[in-house]
Amino acid sequence: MRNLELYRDSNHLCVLLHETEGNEEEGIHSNQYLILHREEGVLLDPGGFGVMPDVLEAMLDYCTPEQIKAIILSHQDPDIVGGLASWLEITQAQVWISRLWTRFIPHYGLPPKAVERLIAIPDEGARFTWNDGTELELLPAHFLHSEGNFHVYDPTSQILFSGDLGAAEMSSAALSPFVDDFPAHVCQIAGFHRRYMVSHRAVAVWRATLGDRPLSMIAPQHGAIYRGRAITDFLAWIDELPCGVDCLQPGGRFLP
Amino acid sequence: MNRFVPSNLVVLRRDVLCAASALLEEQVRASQAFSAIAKTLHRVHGELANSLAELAGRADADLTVRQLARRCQTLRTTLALVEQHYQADVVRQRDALRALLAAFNESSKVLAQTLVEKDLLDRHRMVLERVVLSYERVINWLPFIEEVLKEFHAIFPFDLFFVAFAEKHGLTAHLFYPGRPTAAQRSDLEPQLVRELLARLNQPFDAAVDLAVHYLDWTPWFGIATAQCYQLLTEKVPDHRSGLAGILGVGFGSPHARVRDRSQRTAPACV
Repeated sequence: MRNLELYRDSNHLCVLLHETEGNEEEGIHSNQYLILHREEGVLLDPGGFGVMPDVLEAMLDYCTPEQIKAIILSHQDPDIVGGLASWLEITQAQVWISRLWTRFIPHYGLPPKAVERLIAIPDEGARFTWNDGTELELLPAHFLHSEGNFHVYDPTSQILFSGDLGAAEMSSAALSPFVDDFPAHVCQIAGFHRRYMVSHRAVAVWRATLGDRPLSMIAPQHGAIYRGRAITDFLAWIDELPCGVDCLQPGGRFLP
Repeated sequence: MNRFVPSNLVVLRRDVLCAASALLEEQVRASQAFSAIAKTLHRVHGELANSLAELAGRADADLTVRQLARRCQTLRTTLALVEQHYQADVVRQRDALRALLAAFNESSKVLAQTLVEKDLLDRHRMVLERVVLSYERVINWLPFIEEVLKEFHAIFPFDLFFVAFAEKHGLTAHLFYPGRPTAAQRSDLEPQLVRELLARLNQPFDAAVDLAVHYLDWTPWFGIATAQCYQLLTEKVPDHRSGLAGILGVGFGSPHARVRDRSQRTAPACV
């Protein structure tokens, strides 16, 4: 169990909090990220119920709960939102999530008046602005896989926090936290992306949205983080991948 | 926690913080469950109370029904009080747990830092003194120092070692890096170091500094990249023994450095 710093300069830090070991977390292993800019923090996809204690302990290495200004949720799944109630109790953070989910999130059980802290991200995306004017971009990635889905692009570190896109169903702690050899990694992600990513068109639209932003890493919510050559290899692979409804067959079958 | 902190302290900190956080999370969940149940109780009880009140209001209602209606109303008030009391308790306990988490976290950081500094100063005082006292006595000073630092680094894997002397022409500072940091890393780190050295030696901030950089090539560079992450431990040179006014110390990376007050992290002490 350890924190993994992905980027650090004198004002800005991106860290994968509490890189969990195999079988430590029931269900699928998930990544929680902290971005700390000067004295302000943003938590990305803080995790399901039961994950919060480990994530909080890891986060306290860098900042206090009072410093967390925002929690940004890529989508509405329980492995992302399940622990939100506790985070709302210990921070004063605003919660950013797609406008599609603001009326559903309270069903996870939120503290009184917490609904007032939800910020609905419009379909076209939004920008989170730090106190000094620096920004995080909330890029639309709808249907990858959720209907209302956002990635966070950090122009300072040039890291794309990609939610479930690029996610791997990895369970072994022995594996590297980074993807350096994409061909060897494909087997970890192919099945997940074919089934969970809704369509090739959704991928193409997302690629057009991402444009030519420089990428130092792609950091998904599950599994290893892409860097170097693995980034372009992954993008080339996902560009050509038939997935979701493209593969759906009568009788509930999917093309292999 | 950084790599110099004793592992048992790291484990203790993690276990306590995780246990307190888990308690907080369970409490949040329990409070939500209680609120949901209480809401249902209020609704069902309200329906019963209204029905009974309606029955009791009839002209032919007997005494028992009227008594039941009154007791039902009392129960409604009591239920509201129980919920109010419980939720107040929840808030008190949540605030107490949050305060405990913050206090323990801060205390463990301070304790860890204290242990690191004490460990360094206690175990390596003689090594540091050898460096200082040899400055004007050993002809091949640099090879001698590098040998001493190799021994020192095996026990305490510092990222930077420095020794500086205030001499007639200004300040002479020798910097020793285990491995080779990049030019950008050096230019980030060294101006801050020089400022601190001048301040510690009560020299003007613009005093001349003769900076000599040495690379200890028997190890790769593992240092953290920015000055904000560094902690510096300094020792004044004992001038009654060497006849020199000077300072020496080590720098090492720490993830806490950016969120803690620097003044709390430098721990000057006389040898």
